[in-house]
Amino acid sequence: MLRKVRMLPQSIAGQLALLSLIFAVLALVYLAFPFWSYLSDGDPLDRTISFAEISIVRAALADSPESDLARRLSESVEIAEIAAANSGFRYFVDRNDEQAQFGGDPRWQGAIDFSHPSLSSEGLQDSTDCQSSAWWRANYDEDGVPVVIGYQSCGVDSTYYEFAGITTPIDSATRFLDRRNLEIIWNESQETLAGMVGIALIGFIVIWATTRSLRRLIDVAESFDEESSEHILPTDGLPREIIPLVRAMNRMMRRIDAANKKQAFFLATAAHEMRTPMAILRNRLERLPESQDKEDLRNDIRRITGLLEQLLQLIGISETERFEDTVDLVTAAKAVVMDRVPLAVEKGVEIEFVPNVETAPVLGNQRLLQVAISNLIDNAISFSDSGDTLTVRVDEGPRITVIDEGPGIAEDVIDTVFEPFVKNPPNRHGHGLGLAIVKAVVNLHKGGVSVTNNVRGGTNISLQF
Amino acid sequence: MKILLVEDDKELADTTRWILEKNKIVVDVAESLLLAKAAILDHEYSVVLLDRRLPDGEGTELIHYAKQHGVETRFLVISAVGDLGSRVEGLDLGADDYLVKPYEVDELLARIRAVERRPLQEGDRVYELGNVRFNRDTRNFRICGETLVFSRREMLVLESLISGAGRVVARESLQAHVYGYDEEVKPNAVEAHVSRLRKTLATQNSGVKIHTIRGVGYMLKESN
Repeated sequence: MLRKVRMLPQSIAGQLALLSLIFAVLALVYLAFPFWSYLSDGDPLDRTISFAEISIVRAALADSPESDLARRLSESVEIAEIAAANSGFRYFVDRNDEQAQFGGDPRWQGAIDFSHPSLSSEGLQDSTDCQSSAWWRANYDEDGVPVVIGYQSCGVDSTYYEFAGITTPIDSATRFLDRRNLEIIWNESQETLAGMVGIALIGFIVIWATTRSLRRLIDVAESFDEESSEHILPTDGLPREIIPLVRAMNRMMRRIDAANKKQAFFLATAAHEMRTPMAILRNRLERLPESQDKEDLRNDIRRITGLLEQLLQLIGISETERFEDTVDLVTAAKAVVMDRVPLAVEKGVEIEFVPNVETAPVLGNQRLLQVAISNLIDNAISFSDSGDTLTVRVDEGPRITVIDEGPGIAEDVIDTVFEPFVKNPPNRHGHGLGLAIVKAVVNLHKGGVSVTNNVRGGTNISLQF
Repeated sequence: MKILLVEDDKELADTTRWILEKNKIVVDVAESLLLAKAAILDHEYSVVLLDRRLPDGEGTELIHYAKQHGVETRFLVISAVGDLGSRVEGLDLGADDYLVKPYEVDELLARIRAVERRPLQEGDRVYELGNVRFNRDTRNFRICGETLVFSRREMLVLESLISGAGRVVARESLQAHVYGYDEEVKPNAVEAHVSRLRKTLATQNSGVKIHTIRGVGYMLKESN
């Protein structure tokens, strides 16, 4: 469902930036469209004439009392452009008896009586509103050259103009992408664009503030691990829109926590309670007469018992509390070695304990560390033959290494030995959980494991803390 | 041999009793701590097989109770908790051995026999392992009935090893036993005694062997 909007950038800020940009372009097009449609319509010469008329009227009516009329007209860039392109160009303007002319004398001034009733019926009666007062204008033909005459009057303010001699269209009047046209569009759109930039800026600030509170939330969430007793995200300081999401996540996590707790309890109890029926089963088996089947059944029970033991160890790892005690690896490992010696001697395997340091303190759980060391030693014993020697070393780091003289581990599977239910060779006795438990314990202590084959045969497995 | 089985699970108690009786062991069953307390006061048992989890309390309480009431017996604790810490704790509480459920039947019988061979605190203090017989009171060692003469230090080493037979005796505790804490000990002195002792045991038909666990200590065990 969310995939549909993939064409948008993934970040909110990116979406805001992209949409703002698209909107800005649309606004510019909207503002520029009238220009374009006007300029691309009709005869270029007609448009140039209109352009000249607008320019002249604009210069004539400009409300700048300091400059005189002639100066305003001669300073108009538009008029100058027209004059440059048309050698026969002339104009004459009379505003309230202030007169200005260019390119020659007026030919039509006085020829028309603007006070004549036939003209005033078109709306030339005195008006005080010069913006909406009526215009009188006329196009004549002056020996094939068009002349334009116009008159406007509003109250005391009256303006007369005439111009002629335009035979060549100019760029400003005909080309949309002319520099001055673009300048006009730009000036017109500046306010709109400024508003848009402001709104986008507000958007970015809101996004920044929201993501900052979200980032705090992420930090809290990151600090959670499986051991945290309560997985509750704080809702303080979050935008109101986000709070329902966080509350829903909290409800979800509470449900998961409850389920986990239930599962852990179930596993621990179930595994623990299975010991008694297993013992009963084992005892009952003794009632059967000796046979191959009976021996097979004994082995089956041994396997189930071993699996049960390892499952209990795994459960013990996930149940553990925070580490506050310092465990001396030398003492812990020595106790494990002493415990495992009878098993090794039974198999004809010798164990050596080589502590190369006085003490090797590790912040952790003694019981779990001993389970890990014990599993390493049992694993090494299972790979050893009668007469082999197994060495348990404790070195600087602290690091504990169990070295056996067994067949070693094939290089292509050496990286998988710590994965659960991986057995090498696959038909070996056991459940493939022993080393997975070691890894889990070491991970819990933020340590690392490494496996290397010895040049002279055998395997070294190291736990680095 | 008569033993008391303290186990609240009836099925487990019945099947265990069946196995033990088949192996010529007389078994009484107590289903609770209360019944077990009454039983050890009324009868003499060579060994008590003790479950740690009982309906009316912690099984090891019985060990404490036996000591208080001067009852001489040996305790083999059978627990559902198998980690090293619990085992050590069980032994520290005065158990003679510790076995984890579910156990191998052969192992149960072997442990019972091993525990039973242990002398009681005040009884005739005789240890037996392989063909070696050691009377702690007279400090007399015999192999196949022949009395052997060792140096005093070697005798102390053997005494320490045979009383902890089947388990590792740490080098430090061996040294403490042989020399006392304030005596000055030459380096490798213990090793030298052990080495001579091992030679003697090997040449005689002792049926036992001293295993060296480098960096830890020694273990005396029946040789196969």
